[in-house]
Amino acid sequence: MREIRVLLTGNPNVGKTTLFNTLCGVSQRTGNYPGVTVDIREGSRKEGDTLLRISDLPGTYSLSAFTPDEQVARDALLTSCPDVIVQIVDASNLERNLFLTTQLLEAARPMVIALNMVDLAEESGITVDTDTLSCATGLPVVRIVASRGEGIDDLIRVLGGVGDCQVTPRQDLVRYSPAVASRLEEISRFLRDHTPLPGGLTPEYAAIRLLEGDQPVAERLHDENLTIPVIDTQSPADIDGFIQEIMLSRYRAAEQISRCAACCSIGRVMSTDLIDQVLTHRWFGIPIFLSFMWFAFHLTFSASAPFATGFELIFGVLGEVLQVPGAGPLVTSLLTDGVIGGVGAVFSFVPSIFILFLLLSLLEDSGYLARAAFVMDRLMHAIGLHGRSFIPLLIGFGCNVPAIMATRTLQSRADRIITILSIPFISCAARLPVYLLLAGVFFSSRAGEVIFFLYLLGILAAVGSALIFRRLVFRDEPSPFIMELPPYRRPTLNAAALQMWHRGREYLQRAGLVIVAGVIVVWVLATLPAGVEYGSAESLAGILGQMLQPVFAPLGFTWQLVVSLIFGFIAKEVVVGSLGTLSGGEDSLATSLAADPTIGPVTALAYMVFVLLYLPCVATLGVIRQETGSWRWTGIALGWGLLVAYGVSLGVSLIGTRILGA
Amino acid sequence: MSVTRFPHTCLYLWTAVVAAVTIISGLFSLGAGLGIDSGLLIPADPVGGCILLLIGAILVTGLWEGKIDRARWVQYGYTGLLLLLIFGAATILIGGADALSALMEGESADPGSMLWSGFIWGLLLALPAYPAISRILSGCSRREDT
Repeated sequence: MREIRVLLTGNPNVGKTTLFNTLCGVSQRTGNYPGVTVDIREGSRKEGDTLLRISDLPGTYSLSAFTPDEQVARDALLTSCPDVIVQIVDASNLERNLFLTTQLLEAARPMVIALNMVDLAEESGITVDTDTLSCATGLPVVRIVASRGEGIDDLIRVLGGVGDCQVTPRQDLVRYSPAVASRLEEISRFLRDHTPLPGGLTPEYAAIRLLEGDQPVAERLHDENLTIPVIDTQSPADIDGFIQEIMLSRYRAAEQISRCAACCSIGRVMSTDLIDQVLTHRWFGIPIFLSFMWFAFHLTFSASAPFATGFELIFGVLGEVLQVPGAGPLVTSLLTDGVIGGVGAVFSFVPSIFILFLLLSLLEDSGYLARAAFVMDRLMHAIGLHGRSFIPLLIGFGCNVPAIMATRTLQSRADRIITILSIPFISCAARLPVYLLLAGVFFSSRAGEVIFFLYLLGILAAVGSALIFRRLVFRDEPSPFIMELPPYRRPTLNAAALQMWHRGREYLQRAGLVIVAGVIVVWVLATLPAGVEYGSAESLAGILGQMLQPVFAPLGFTWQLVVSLIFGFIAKEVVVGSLGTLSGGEDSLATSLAADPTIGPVTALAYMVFVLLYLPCVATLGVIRQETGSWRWTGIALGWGLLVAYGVSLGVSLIGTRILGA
Repeated sequence: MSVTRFPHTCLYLWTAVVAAVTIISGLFSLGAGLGIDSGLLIPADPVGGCILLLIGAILVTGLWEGKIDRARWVQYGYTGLLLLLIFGAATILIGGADALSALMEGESADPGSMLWSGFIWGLLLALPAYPAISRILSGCSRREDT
């Protein structure tokens, strides 16, 4: 079978992952904002006797990589030897996208241009002549609408015909000034005597990279014992001058091609721009964003309540059915107290997680979330966070693990570490069941507001934490924030529901096993030693909880609450699972909590705040270690979370007791 | 672009009515949330009241700036009405879900009380104006086309 290696590349948010999903028949996460893909994704597609091995690279604006995700893309494009590179080009933003094309052409890589989002471009009055574009670049150009699967067959046909292609890529597209051209000629002449160069670099392209001061290329040539006299004598001012000259020449080339190939209405004002002037307004922007979040959480709470009631009824019936006559009391207790009480308590809240994912998907697909990052930039900058940090923080509302990985889009290590240390305070979906349960029981009519307050508190803790780390540890200024705002799109319920399903399923697969394992461990601790009353203070769980309870006494936590916190370290969902297991399966967990005289609204609020802010879960800690490459920062994330959680919960407890007197 | 001729003048006045209703209902919701009894059936909702005031402010800004440049009225008016539609729809879903939940738990549900929410009034008033202002916005975005 013939195998073709394909690399998908392009600027951020041009639809690379959407095309990857369509080509490979998979469902990797996509988003209507830049920086969703931070690592290489692999997939394949069989077409007749041809196997396409496809890699989806993180988005990049140029081959001069600044951020870790751009470095991943640059390394793959320059060091691996694919059979073909597919550059996905946003038809409505041709000139900016062609800047990367000019670089890829110079690298002399076999290429195809997939002109994506032609429908949106045409809607906004931009038409691109593919023949002219193909003629100007010397590359095959295929019109596609990746989201609807249009033009995919044509693209596959072109990919299948790689090698038989008659077009010749234009490598002379960029015209450099005489000074740059003569220096490039001097270096490439030297390199021509030492071919083949590592990584399949052509002497001409290696010369350009060296003149731009590309360190990895220089190091690779150095490893081959190639010392280039002209380069070694370059001063930093020379390098800066050459970089500017080279970039300007590329922009000129991109502009020239764009002017030939694209035709657009003159003086056009996009409705997106008109709406943006209000949604990103200096004074209205942040309140509008908060309004959307408030409605999202309010709707999540209300819309999930009937489902939760339904689930409770189902698990109640299941609990009775599982009381099989003849089965030992231990088995019955495991099934009813452990599995039904614990797992059932958590799964009652699964609909709310799905609804939250649906609402976030709708906001994301519409293009609004990217505006939220823009709106928050001024605030973020003021508190020492990079504006782009807001995207990982937003992803954190779903799960902190991908959020921490998304910090790879940040250029400076200081910005990355500050963001990584702030993300665990953002309330992930796993914490939602705890809020829904306790807010529902203790603040029934005001539950929506309480949950909104908790989410807001999470954001405040994250930004406060960033402020402290910026002032005390990383004193440099955050780097400037440049982000492209995608056009508004009418979100479709189908796409959002699909997105919700994928995220929800991922959540269930990940959390399901951990929850079952967690509640069984809690059940064992609540049952042993043999002969004690289930879940009593004499059980192992009781002994453990009572041992630690004095530490939490100022917060008003009972030993059951403390035990649940300990197991919540495995995964936050286990907090509710543990509470459910410890309360037994006779009454619903909500009923048991409402009847518990030792837990009042103040304790419940302090507990929710503690769950929001305390230790990141094991998976999050693992990824913090991976991304920071340091146990020290991992330890700081751990200790800092505990400290902040204890301090804020104590504050809530003291103030709450003073106000409510209970 | 001329937006002074009929039906734009009507629409401009209609936006003013929507802005006034939104602000008044926002004030009552906020007041009720703070414990001030107005004697009306408007539900106590301090956060919702603030959001209504925010939308009212957006619409008023559009009306004010629209006196100089009518295109500004269109962009603020469009966004304000769109927000009313989105939040109004969300309020209906919230009210419906709350009623369903109450019924499932054997409690009495009163979905009619939801009708007094400022978001529902806003939704009802924004519905007829939204298509017209969308068309005008679309016209704005196509101005100077060649």
